[in-house]
Amino acid sequence: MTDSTTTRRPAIAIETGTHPIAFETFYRREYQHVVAMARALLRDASAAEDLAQESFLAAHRHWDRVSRYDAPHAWVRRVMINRATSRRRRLGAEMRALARAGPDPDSTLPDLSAATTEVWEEVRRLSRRQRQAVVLHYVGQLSMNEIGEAMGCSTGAVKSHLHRARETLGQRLSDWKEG
Amino acid sequence: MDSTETRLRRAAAETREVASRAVPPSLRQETMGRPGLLVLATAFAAVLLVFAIPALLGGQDTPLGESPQPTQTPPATIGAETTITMIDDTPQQCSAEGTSEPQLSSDLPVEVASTAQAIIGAASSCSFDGLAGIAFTDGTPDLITSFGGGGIDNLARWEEEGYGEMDTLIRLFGTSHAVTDVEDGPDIYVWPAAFAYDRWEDIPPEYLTELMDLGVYSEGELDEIARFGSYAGWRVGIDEYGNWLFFVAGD
Repeated sequence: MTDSTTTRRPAIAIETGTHPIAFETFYRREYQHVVAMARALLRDASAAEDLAQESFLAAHRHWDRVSRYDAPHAWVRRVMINRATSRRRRLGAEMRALARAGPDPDSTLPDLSAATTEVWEEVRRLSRRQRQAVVLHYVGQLSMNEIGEAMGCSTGAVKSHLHRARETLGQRLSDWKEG
Repeated sequence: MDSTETRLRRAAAETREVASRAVPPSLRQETMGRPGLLVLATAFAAVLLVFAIPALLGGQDTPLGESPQPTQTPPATIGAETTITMIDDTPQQCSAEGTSEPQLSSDLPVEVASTAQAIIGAASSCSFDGLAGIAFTDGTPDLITSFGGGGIDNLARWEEEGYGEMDTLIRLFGTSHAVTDVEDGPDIYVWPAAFAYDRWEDIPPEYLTELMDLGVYSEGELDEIARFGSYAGWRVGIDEYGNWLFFVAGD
């Protein structure tokens, strides 16, 4: 074990002291972005919506603090991606999906196409950090710097995760023919 | 652009398009915690004050036979279509909720077993004060949870932010332990035993199986750890005197 100043999960934001944004404005502006990323990370559509709501509730509970961060949206994304990848949630979501035949009656979201579903199934098989990077990059359309903030790592590490994720996905999705 | 990149971009675009039809719902909580119960109790008391007491005192505000109109606080409204009803605060979720307590090995020294059991007990209920009371501090850098410090506060913050590791902490005690020799220092009991091996390829198969069965890491994550060259995932250590020294991941 070596001494190091590296923390496993460094703070993602610094209090700026600038005028905090109203929670309602933040929620309305960010909700669909967070739902999209949750939908990619979870097989179950209603679980994805629940997850988005839980993440915003967490933001609301700590809004006095979170609203003063440079990037409150990065905070809520980080909460979401970590909650999405917790073992308990994955199991719960998968059990619900298995128990249900046909469309998800609890979800307000339309179903994804078979091709897109297949892509996210493969993404979910990646390691936690790789799938987080993929979803934040492709669905969240965040910059490398923003992804690093959300994941609590350097931009170099983000690029490495993305590179390895694409390599693995390239092998697993190799039989796909561009239409 | 290769087909993988194309597929990812198409999948992402479709997913964003689908999510753009999601309407921000009323934020709600499935379970009401103590603050919620307090709100209920306060509301009940308010109803008593407004309706029951004047009626008992012979007041004329609520004629007999007519139902009093409940008072309501209008919820905050956003735009034309979205209403957010906030019930502040949620019950603290604990990642260890439902995690089975492992059976500790019978060949552990009493001091080590006692500390391990105390950690499991406190972690099971996310008692961070309890964990803080067990953590070994003697003025040296606190290696519990992070090489950069933060100690028990990190554990509490991670739970708050939704990726608590209490479940992991308990599960580790269900793996085999190893005893590591430290020059001029006490023996350290560490879980999982895989941590005691400097090279990944030296880890016995039964310990690798334990890592897979641990339920903390996916196959892909273990592949990543293997590429690192040795087990650098979550581990917990207690010295022979029963001092809880670390619960860390990474290198």
